[in-house]
Amino acid sequence: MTMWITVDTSVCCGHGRCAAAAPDIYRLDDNGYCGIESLELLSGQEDAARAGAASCPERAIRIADRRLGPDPAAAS
Amino acid sequence: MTVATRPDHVPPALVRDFDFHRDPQFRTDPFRAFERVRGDRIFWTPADGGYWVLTRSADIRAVLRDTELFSSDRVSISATPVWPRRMIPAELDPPEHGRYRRLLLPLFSPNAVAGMDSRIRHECVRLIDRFRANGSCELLTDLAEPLQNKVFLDIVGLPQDQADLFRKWKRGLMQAADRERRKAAGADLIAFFEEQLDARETAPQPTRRDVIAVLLESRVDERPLTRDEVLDTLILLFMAGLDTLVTVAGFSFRFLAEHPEHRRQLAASPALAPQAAEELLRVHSIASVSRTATRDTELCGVRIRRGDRILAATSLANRDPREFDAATEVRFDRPANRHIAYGAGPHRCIGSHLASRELAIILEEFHRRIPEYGLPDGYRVRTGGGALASIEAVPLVWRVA
Ligand code: HEM
Ligand code: SF4
Repeated sequence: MTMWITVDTSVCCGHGRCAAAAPDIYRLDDNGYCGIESLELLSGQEDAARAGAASCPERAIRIADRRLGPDPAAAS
Repeated sequence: MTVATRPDHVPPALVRDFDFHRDPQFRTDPFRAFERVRGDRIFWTPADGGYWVLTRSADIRAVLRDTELFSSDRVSISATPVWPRRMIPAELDPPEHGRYRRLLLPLFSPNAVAGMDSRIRHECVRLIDRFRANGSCELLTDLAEPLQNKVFLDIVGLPQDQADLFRKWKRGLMQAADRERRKAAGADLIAFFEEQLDARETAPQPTRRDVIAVLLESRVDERPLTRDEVLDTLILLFMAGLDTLVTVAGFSFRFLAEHPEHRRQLAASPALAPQAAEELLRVHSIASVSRTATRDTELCGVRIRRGDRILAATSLANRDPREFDAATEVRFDRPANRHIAYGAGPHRCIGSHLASRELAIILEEFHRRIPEYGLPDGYRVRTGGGALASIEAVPLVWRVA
């Protein structure tokens, strides 16, 4: 099953903790904010992706088995 | 200090005797002193004109994130402001805030900071090598302060030979009790900034990418920054960037000197330093910022009036047991350390990547060279509360072969 990460860019504040935990998945832009909005994970990346999501102080990252829409209320 | 009388909308049951500027408990351990109020979710204190205090991570983060309801117009509770205008970008609200913050971000991004690693490390090792054979040092003045001064002056684009003067102004501006001394230090500092800006304007240095270059070249709302805006930014950087890291390093080394097991973990595996730095930042969260309600509202079930002040103490957020297992324990291997020592929401610290890396470098290089050390027998480290908790001196001693 393919997994997707979705980053709520309106909530991301550039802590960069996601990239510190999983640099291959969460690429930061020049300002240090998470540069991706959604991304389909390669198999084997799930644990790293989860570690990255769990380290985000803003709870900006969601992981699901599909591409999620921009609904921050659904964020865990 | 101005003690407020309780306004009508504040229920008497929510009034507490709390003063994080003056309570003597903050003189030995500010973070533990905050824990005294953990039992209340929200309360009101008449100190410094009166303000609300939040104690839970989720509530504090919600306030820091909601810039519409909670303005940053005065970011410190203290009734005597150190600066006559709003400091940039800390005391601006969105959308204005973002226009200025954006200018600074690329200079402090994780990538930019990674590029400074070897220079910071080199200077850190040079400073350690100067005192290593003595068997003693004072961590702040022998290591953290000179290192931070150098890194800071470099990024901002100020001459290195002024570091001593800087220290004097910093003490005067941030620590002097009497108004006149603070004013004098502020005036000296501004005169110095003005001189530097004049020099850069008459002789631009197009190859330099530092804060001054960016501020002088950038445009907001399709016009260059005014001289006041440039000064309002430099003064904020001076207040936010110079002492903060030094203080956290001081608290961290006090902790390590008193906790041999943690010290040995670091000495045994210096690669642990980045994680250890984040955990030490979590338990030593020095910043307590404030917000102002922009309209009547409700917060944690309590009525808040427009203009009410609210204290968001990052230490209370970061030791909240609802948020962290064994919240007051120091665990270098804590998985997913979602601390907010650098704040949260749109104002989250711009210098965080730099500060975290510097702290990690200091921890790593120090323990590589000096694995065993302690405070001198009987020495008691003195600390202070306030918007930025402070620490006076951290003397360390070790055996030399
Ligand atoms: C361990 C050291 C540091 C800590 C704990 C810290 C903490 C904080 C906190 C809590 C805020 C948020 C303030 C608020 O929400 O009102 C902040 C903002 C800021 N910090 Fe830091 N800081 C540190 C180091 C630095 C350094 C080294 C610099 C720059 C050289 C810096 C520059 C800034 C700036 C410019 C802001 C304002 C950001 C904005 O308003 O958008 N900080 N810092
Ligand atoms: S950790 Fe969260 S807030 Fe920070 S950069 Fe990543 S997504 Fe953004």
